[in-house]
Amino acid sequence: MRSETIDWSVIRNALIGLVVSIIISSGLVVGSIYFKSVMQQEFNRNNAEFQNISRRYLAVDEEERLIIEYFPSFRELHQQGIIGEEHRLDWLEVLRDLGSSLKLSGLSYTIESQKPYAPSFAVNLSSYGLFRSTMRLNMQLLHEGDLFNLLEALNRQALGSFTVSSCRLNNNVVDDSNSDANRSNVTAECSLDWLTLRLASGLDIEV
Amino acid sequence: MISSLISTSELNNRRVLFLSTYKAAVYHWHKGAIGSSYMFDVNEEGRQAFERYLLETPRETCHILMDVYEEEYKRETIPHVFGSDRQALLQRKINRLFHDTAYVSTEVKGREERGRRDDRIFLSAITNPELITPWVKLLDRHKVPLAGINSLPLFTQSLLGFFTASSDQILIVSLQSISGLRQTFFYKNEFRVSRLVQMPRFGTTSYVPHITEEVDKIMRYLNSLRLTSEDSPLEIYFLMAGELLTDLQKAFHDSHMVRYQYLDLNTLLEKSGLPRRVNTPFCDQLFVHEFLKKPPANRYATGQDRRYFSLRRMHHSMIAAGVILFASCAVWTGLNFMDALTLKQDSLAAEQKTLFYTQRYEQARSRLPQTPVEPAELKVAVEIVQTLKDHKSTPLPTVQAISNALERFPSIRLENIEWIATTNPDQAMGDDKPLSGIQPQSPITAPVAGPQYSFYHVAMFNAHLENFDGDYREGIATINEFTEILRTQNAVYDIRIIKLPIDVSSTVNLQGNTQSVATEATFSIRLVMGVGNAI
Repeated sequence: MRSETIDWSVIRNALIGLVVSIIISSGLVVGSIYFKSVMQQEFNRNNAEFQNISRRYLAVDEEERLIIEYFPSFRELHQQGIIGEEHRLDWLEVLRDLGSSLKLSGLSYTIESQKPYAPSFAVNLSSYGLFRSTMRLNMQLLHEGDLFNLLEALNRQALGSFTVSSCRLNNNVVDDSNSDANRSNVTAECSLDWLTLRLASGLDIEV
Repeated sequence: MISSLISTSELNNRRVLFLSTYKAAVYHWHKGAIGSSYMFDVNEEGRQAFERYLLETPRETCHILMDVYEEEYKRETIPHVFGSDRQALLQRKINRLFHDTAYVSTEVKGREERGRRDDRIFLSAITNPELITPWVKLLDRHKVPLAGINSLPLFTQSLLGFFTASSDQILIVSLQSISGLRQTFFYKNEFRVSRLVQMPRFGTTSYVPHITEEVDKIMRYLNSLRLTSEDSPLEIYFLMAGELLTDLQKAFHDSHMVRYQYLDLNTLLEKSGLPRRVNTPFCDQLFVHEFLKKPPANRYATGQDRRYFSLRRMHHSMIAAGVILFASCAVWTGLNFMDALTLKQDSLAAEQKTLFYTQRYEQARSRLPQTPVEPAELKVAVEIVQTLKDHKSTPLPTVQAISNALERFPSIRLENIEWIATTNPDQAMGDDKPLSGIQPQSPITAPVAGPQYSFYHVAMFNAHLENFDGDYREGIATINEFTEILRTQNAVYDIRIIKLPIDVSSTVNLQGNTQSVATEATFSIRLVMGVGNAI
């Protein structure tokens, strides 16, 4: 049928009705899809919360066991400065005391700013982050034993945990006949990594 | 009375304009039967009355059934082609045979059995369009949907089921009040020819002589055209009623070539399902009832004539589509909404259960000390620190191993040690080149193939032989022995002599003075020690 032969008055109302039906039907469909998707999201959220809390509730005995077994160690590590903020002032005080007690003729240090640390060995960090502050020590020693005494004392007295990443020892005495008990016979340069465990989210750990 | 029709349903009701050369009658189909009927003259006054009728009645679908003299029939053949080619051939035939009228119908009746097996086509036309056009224009002006135009003789073929004919040749004789005597001949249930004769006014004279004369005429006509055969007798059916039927039985007598069948109209009307009974011999109501009961497809009406019918169908289709669409979407939406409500209920149930378990959990947790992190994370933290402790490094074990070995070699004097902790046992040291570049021609180069460790302490140390007297052979032997002793130390993974007091390999230049004795013999050793549990 050609358009010029169409008497629009005959089909106008039906056409309007069809268009209105399409609009209303589309509205119903779109609206119901939106409503259902909102309900689906709400259900997913509430169900996930329920699954989480029910799992935790069922695991509360396990949590109790974990707290009893690990919380004392955790608290101790926090007190030792391994978990939480590092204690640089304490390190410096210990170094100063050790230099004096070990009668080192020279002990200088530099401590770099703290940076995130990715260890080369496998470790499950979970929600934690590891941070490292590199301390460089230059020491004038009477003999090699002083270095190990210093490292041992530092490990024992200072808050925190470190690992020695490198060391260079130079024997300044050509032969034993030239050794002098009052001067530095050995020069040592060592790098120590002070490692600290903190929450990756940046929140403080308060025990 | 007419106005009462306005309230009737448009969908189920229909009507037919039964049109002859002199009269027109409108019959309404209402509740499955013929309803009211209206008669009009075929002239200007009749059409004016018809127009008034159209104004006062609802725009129900209308059919036109014609019973006129000016209808012609042709049988032709065309080559067996399809599509546009067939259309072109048919149009050529139509132009040649019926060029003055638009009311033409074509029908393919099969194929010839011989020759190139052309298609057999049947063409029919209302040769005087002026009989139809004024009525069609009126319908169009008043927007009445015209479903189609058909002719009575061709429609009669659909009534052959009424007759239990035993012959291939059938002649049906009927009287129509608006047209006259119609005689239609069928051969093997296929329309062949039809003839209409005007009759005197009913009641003014006996129809028997007229009918007898016209039946004789058409029999002669059929014989002259050789339309009948002698294989079977010609059966002539009279569709009439009352006294006329009785008189005709007296007038005709069966022969071996002709058999006469007298069918009472009232019996046929009952068979057709029409409760009315007639006293006159006219078949108008029988034909109209059968026609309106199941209207045949359009035969003659053009697209322009039927435009309001097409628009009506379009109108109904759009309404149906709209209703179906809305109903479907409403059902779908309802199901979706029910699903959403189910989800909402499940969501509320999950929320309540969450609240319940949260309270229980908090109650259970209140017995336990507060922890800065989740209990599981306590374990993780402790294990991380333990791992760090396992990898804690100090140069003490390396220096102790070297010192232990040196105790047995007082002639060796240590100058310096460079030490690192690493996971790579081949780690280059300070200014040292990678191991692959270390002098392969050195006296001792074979690494100690020890177990693998999680990480290593690598030390490079320089030393010299005190009181060296220039005996390189003895010096090298001492260094080798020292190296072998060092190798036996615990956790030694690899040891290599990097530099000897003298390089005697063939690839380097060597110079000296036999008059002077060398007093210096320095050497370098690279020591790798494994840390942690051997893998």
